[in-house]
Amino acid sequence: MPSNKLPTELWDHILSFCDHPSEWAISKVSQRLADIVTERNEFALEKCRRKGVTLPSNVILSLSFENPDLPLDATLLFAHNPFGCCISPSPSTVRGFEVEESDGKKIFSSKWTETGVMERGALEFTLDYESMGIPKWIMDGLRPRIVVSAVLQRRDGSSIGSRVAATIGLWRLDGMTRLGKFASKQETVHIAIWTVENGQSESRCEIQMEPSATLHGHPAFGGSDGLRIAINSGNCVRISDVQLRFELPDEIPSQFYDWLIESRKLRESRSLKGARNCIEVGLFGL
Amino acid sequence: RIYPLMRVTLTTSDGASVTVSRQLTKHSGFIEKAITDMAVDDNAVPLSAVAVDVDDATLKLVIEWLTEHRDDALPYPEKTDEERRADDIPAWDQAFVQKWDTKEDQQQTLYAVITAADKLDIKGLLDMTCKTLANKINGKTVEEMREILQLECDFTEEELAEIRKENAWCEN
Repeated sequence: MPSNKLPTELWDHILSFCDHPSEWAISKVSQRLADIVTERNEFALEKCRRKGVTLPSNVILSLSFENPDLPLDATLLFAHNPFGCCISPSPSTVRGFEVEESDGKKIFSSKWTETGVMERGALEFTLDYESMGIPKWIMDGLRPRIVVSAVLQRRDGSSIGSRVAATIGLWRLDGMTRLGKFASKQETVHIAIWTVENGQSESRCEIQMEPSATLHGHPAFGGSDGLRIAINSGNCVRISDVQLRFELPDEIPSQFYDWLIESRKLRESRSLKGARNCIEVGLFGL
Repeated sequence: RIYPLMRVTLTTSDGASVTVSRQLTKHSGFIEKAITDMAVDDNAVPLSAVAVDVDDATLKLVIEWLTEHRDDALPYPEKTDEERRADDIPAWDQAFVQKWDTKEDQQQTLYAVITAADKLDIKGLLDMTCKTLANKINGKTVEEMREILQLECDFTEEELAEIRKENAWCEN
């Protein structure tokens, strides 16, 4: 029995165990297999559309289908809808904040020491964006706008407004060191200031990090690896509902391939040992 | 409930008859349905042999696999697309498939077993054989895939030119 006699539904099942480059290569083997792969992709996308999953623009989808090195996993998009919903990461580390839970949500509040000094807290979030359906090439080449938001409240009894700085850059996420010194940032690439005014009790703050060569081309990030976002809060503040959102451009940037190559070179030039494809978000109480 | 001694006769597409335990056929959705349709009650043997659209040689391989997997849990655990992976084939299954590599028509045997697993609705065997084929082609070039799958390139010159253009970026 030759392989081309296998029915389409069986090929579909076999392809479900193939990686993207192999699936792409199979589509170049013969006319029939090309049709099966195309149909499979269209079916997967249709499934996403029916569920209301936000898909990249058609131009970006076509780019992915035509390039084996630019995979887009419709299954992961279907499961996580990373371009259509806010991602609420859980902190991997909490330092110097009191944690309360209300309606299933965690609230992180600045903490006062026994001597009346406010602790400088730190929250660290790790987001493995690849497992959520955002492949590395999208971060590197399309450079989506990253939107970080959080709800800020003045703590009870506090009458002054709070200033909050959201920063993206290279940070030492140490918070308070063992010697009692705060490990300060080493380099800032992007910064934005939020303010919770005196008259407000609660405010949703949002920072949009526009794609830039300074950010994405920074050798510390190696393209998209280890991108860190830090939010520095003012005193007497409560932070909750931290969310991240990725907004893709509709068109493919003219520098797309240059950016990909640049990121690839950056990645190759640094030690990959221990490198993770993730975004780390740090929230600091100063 | 299925009693171990209950047996059912299967007739193959090339006219052979094979009698097997219901402990094995319980893993085949097709055979179980045929038995249910023909038997007078749930535990009875069917009134006549169950005809399967699988040849004798392939059915023997299927039965060998079923014998090894007779105690597998039922129903077969359905996996989402996200959970699917090709690198979790049990050692016995890998050895089972490797035995076919000594045959000249190893690929044909694999396709025949995939098709048989599909026709007989044996999900575990279908997954295992599809994973095996996926592992054979994963990471291969288009030319290598054509060789493995024994397929001719039937694209037009224009289509091939388009493919070469698409390849250009990857090669660079």
